[in-house]
Amino acid sequence: MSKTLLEIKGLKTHFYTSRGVVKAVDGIDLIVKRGETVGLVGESGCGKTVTGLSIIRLISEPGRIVEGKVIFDGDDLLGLKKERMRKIRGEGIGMVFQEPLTSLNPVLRIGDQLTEAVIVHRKSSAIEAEREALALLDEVKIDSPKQTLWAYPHQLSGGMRQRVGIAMALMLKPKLVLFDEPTTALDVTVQSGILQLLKGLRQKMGLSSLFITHDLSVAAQLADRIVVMYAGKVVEDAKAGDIFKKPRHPYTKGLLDSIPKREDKGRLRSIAGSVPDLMNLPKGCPFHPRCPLKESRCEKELQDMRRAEEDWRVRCWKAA
Amino acid sequence: MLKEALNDKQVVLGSALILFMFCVAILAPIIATHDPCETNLSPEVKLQPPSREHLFGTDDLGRDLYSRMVYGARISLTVGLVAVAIMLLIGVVIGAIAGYFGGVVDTVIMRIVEAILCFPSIFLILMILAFLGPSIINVMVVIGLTSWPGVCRLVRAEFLSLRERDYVVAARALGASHRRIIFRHILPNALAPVFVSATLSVGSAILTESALSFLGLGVQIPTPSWGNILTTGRFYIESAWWMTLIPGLAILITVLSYNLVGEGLRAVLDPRLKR
Repeated sequence: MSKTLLEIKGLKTHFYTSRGVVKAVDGIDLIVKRGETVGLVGESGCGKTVTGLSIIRLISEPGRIVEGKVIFDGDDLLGLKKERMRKIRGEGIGMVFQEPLTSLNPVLRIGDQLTEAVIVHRKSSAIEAEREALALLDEVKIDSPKQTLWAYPHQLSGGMRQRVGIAMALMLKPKLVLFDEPTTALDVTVQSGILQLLKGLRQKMGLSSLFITHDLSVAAQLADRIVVMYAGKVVEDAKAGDIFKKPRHPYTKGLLDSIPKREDKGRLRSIAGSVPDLMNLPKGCPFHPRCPLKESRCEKELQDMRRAEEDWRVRCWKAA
Repeated sequence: MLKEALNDKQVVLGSALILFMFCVAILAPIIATHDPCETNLSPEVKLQPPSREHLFGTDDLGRDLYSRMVYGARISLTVGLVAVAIMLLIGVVIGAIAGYFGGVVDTVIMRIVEAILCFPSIFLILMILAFLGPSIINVMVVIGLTSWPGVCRLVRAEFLSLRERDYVVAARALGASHRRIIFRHILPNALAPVFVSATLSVGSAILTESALSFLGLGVQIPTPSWGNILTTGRFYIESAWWMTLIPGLAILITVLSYNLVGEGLRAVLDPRLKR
């Protein structure tokens, strides 16, 4: 068994809108090893969620995966037949969504939604499925699992809903879990509870996961490795410990500086400017209009990802 | 939601009337005072106004109008329900497919629907019935077959918006099949407007059946239906008013009660109409 669980190679997902082509994901490479948690970080609109949805091929019109490979456990998912792909979803790869209220169906009981995956994939009996669901609700630290099974989503609090969302993704013990901003919609105290839970689950179940977030401080708590995306491209990819000590790409640095710190008084720091229009990217490095270090070369050419150090790749002319 | 519906005067009045009509239809053999098809051509019996012996009077063949009305209720209510069931079956499935898959599938289906909607439905029904021949079963099937485009469009519109919901993406991410997503995840969320439209359609199906029987293409004599009682009544409208007034009122009240329930439910289910 190879150490690599998921390898994305040169993935491009573009959206063909009436106004033009939006290159939401434009040639990214990414590796998740077994047992590893990779944090995929970047501002809103830089292609993180589209990357996640591309992995399980849930991009809908007008989006299309243009090229690239998504090799999961030895198979290229992009070449699989629809039926095989359906087996992989849920059984091979689970997904936890951002908004726990809207990702649960308002008219179905929690129990029905939790057992769905087991019934669909393993054709288990309802009783057996329910027993598994109970065990898992206990695992995600829900106080009264029995009552929760009978509840409708609107009867649960935000944090409980997200715990249910996590349980749903874990029902079939998938090899890889995609977390799409699982804590963004929650307030800070609930968020820390969920992060605590995820840390515990990770140790206990040996989860491999791709953790998508815009919040570096969240990624810092969970990820072994950080991949930073900007305007559909990866700009830096390194071990979490390294990147937080010494970010090499000016964008990563900007993100790190934007985390509020206790010593900070007064204004919150942010990166000047905003994410460029993906339909109309600036020439050269897409980050140059906002970059404090830019030089004339940055406006003309985009640096390839290059090795800065062992296990550390970065896409910047100026990065040492 | 049920509680709210039961607080609505329209819904309560409408459902009470419908319930009453159903009791009459089910209990027809018990509450009818005469055989609905027994004729008596003697002048003392035929075309008699309402009396103690004949509650609603008698018709031109001396049959007891009350008993005929009671048995006729069975036809009208069955036609309403069966035709609407057929309509829902076709309309919901086709509308769901169009709305869920979208794209070319949707375009093709909706163009067909629009083509059907181009014909006035009564004309379409008359044409088909002329081929199939008049019978109660044909009437129900044909009404069902011609009335589904409305529901189809309604369901399609609901699906178009619901298929983008996160929980649908979540269900797909769990590996659920299209069929499972359509029927288990989306359809239950789309039912409220369908329910309202179905209720209103029962009323119009009853009306259509009466119209067809009136034109002689529906339920055939001697089986009584409100429509064909009305049609014989019109020859005697000057001398025997009860033969037109009573079936006419029965149709009016039944259709009205379905509309009351439908409109009331719409008010309850649609938050935009709330006061």
